[in-house]
Amino acid sequence: MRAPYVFDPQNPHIVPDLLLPALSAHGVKKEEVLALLCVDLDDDCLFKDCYLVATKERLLYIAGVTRLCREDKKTLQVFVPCKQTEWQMKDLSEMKMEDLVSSCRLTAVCQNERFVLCNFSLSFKEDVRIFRGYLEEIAKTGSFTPLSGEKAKKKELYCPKCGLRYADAENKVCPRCQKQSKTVCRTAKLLSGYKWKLILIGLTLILSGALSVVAPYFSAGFFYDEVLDAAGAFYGKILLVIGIIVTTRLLSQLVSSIHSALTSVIAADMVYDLRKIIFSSINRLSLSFFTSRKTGGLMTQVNSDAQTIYWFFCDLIPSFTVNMVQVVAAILIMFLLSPPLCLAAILFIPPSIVAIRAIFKKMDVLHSRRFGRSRSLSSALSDMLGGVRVVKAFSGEQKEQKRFNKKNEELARADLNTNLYGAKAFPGVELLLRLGNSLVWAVGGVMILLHLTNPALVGERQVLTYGLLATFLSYVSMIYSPLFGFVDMISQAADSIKAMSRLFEIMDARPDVVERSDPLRLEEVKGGLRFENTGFCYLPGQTVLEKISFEVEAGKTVGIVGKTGAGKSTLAHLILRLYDPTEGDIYLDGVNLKDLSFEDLRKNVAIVSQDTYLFAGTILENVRYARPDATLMEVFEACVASGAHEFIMKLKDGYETRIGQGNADLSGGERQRLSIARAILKDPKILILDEATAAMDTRTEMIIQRSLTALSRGRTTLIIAHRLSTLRDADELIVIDGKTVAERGTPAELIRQKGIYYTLYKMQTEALKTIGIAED
Amino acid sequence: MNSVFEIAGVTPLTVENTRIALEGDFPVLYQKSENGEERVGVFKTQRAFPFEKEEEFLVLLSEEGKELGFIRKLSDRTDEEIAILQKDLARRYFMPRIKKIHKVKEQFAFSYWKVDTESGPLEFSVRDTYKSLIHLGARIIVTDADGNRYDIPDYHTLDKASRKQIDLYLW
Repeated sequence: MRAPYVFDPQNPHIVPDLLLPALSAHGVKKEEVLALLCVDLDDDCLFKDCYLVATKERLLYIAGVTRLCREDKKTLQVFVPCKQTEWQMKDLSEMKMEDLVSSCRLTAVCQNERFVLCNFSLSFKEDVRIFRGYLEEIAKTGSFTPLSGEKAKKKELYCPKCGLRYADAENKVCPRCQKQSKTVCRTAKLLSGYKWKLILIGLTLILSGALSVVAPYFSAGFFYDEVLDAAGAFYGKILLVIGIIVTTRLLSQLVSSIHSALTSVIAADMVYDLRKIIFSSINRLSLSFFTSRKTGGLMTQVNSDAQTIYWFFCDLIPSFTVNMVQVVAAILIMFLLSPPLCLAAILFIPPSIVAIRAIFKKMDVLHSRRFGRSRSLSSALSDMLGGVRVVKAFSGEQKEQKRFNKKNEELARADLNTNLYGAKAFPGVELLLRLGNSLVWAVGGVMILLHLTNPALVGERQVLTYGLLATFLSYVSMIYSPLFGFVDMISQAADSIKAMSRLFEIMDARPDVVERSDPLRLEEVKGGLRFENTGFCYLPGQTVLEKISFEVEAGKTVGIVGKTGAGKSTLAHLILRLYDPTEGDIYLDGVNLKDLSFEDLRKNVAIVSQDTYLFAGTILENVRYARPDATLMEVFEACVASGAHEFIMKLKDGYETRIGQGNADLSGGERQRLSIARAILKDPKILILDEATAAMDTRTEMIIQRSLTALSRGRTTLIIAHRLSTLRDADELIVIDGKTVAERGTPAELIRQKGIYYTLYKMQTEALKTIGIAED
Repeated sequence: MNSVFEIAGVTPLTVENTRIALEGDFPVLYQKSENGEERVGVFKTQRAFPFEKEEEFLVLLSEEGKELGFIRKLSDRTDEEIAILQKDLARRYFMPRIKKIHKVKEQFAFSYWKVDTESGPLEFSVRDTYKSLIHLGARIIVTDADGNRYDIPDYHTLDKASRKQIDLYLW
């Protein structure tokens, strides 16, 4: 049933007609309603229609059910209220949305006690969030201004045409309503460079198809009736006819050789191009795209989708056309040769197609189960192998063996079921087709016998010769064999089109963080940073940072302190524009980051984070990633400064030791030192150290910090750290707590303030003391 | 045992040291001491083992999310308190229980479910169905595309037609 009322942020006061009786029972007139909301759960967590109606004086809660009712031959929706509550608007304050495990509730304080206003499932969060804002304004001032413009736009999650959910609400492409032919055409346009080669492929296929249609005529009917028969026009000229047969065979072989040569040339090029297109589309997207998706999925996308799309254009379409033409031509020829026999031949085609479709459908289910189980097995396997240290340490081999056996058994069973079904079902259909073949034999045989015994019965034109029957039988097999292929092609075509729409989904996805079309270029960056009322949330409603305002003078070192999960790293990511703040702005040397070119920004800001990533390659290559043109001296210097030099020289191949997948394994501290070296080599104006020295001992950390200071040359440095000793040389400290800047000042000032920093400081020094005492 | 909790500041809450009462629609914690009671404030209850033990290891959090302590066993509290906490937990952990599955249709990236729950009939969509089902033995938790969860307490007790609809996702 259609929802009786949908909240519209711009017109929240419009009352649906079905609610009017319930409202007037409470003495509320339609015009008095300021804002109206409908949610889905009542007090007892039953799905009902629950309305919150706000007027200037009151807030009304009416829960009930909407029923369909026939009146005057029209179906009406009637609202039957079953529970009502009422609050005085002026009593309400502190409206809050509370997230529960699988639902939410809106609560408010009324005369010093907190009450639940309404309950709702997570699907209504967006509505309630907006309504809550309105309600708060009404309670305070008696009226409110509805949101307008971008902010008032509700996210459309479902396709309005067919009701399917969009895969990506930002990029509204309905997988069903989007015309599949359009997707194919768009892909074809991408591949327009291959037009001539594809046409050539088509031509060779058509030629070989035509030859295969002609061949049976010479090798069967013509041979019996014209060559072996005394009355035939070519009686006795066996050599000539054999010659013709051999020539057609040769020709068709030649054509198919050309075809496969062409395809293999195209295949490599086209898959290469498609992969390039997909990868570059992925590469330009913002970080949030990658964090919201599984990287594994993206990897298969680059690899297999390219293959699938290629295959669609180079194999599926051409062979489908050719097979189709062949079947139609064969049926046509058969019909011209003998209509009754033709009828006998095609009689079994429709039931076979129905049967094959049914089989493939069931096979699909079996295959996807098999696929699911094999995926489950391989993920369990990579889990076990990845955790081999833990398995050994806790002697869990037996347990893992059992786990593996179970998965293995499940997969084997699914395998068996799939194969067994295939083994049972396909011969059945084949039998059906054999029956068709036999029917042709039978009808043909009867016709020939009739002609022999009673020539008068059959008209002269209907004469069926042995040769004709033989020709016929070869055509029958020609129309039967592609049947399986046709049905299979349908599902494979669907897969290819899915791959294509995935491609466009990525190509059309708009990166969240976009560079301005005419970005500002900075001649020289000094490194001054300013946050102005900056706020950020990863998901609406889940604020990570709010109202962050502070300024860092160019060349200063600032420490950022805060609890785990306080949003310190997020702050760093905002400076790099991996994400854009959802509120407020950030300025670099007085220029809004959003106006600045990506190149200038990222050239001047470097981050060393806690989890460092090293690419497969040598240490030298990894450090040089920051600046590929750096000299060896510069790399050497950077590594000495970062303290990496020490461990690098213990490796046999020194700076040219291969690291990454399958090669030397570096420890956490070693990796961090390499990534610091990377940052030093980049020589940025702003350096962000996000727990960059956390995995090192204090002495190493101190050495690195000294070298960093020595190399800084007026660099702005932001240090995020838990260990306060890391921050001892900072010019200023910023304490993040409760999503915002709680304290700021020099370390000495903050200790005197006796606030959050002081507590932290005291705790850590006391911890050190304990160790000191223990050492004594 | 207790000493670990003392060090970490995770306090066991017993009838001796605390009292729970209702204020409006919300439970409130009172700290008992020799010189009487002190109102700690409104709290949220969180199960430490939400699937395994529904009435044990209940952690109480303040409105700001600060941990106030934990109740080892619900049955250790007074009857009145048990009733308050049970009601609060039932609401907090509410998941519609699926009793019949009319149709599960996989289309493109989502599966579309049409079900009857103990709270009423429902339609919802699930993204990436295989990964959105949590299997807990015979119990299945379904998470839909909006993050709502639905509970199938024991799929063996579903009728045959319902089971057939989700057969594909079960292993």
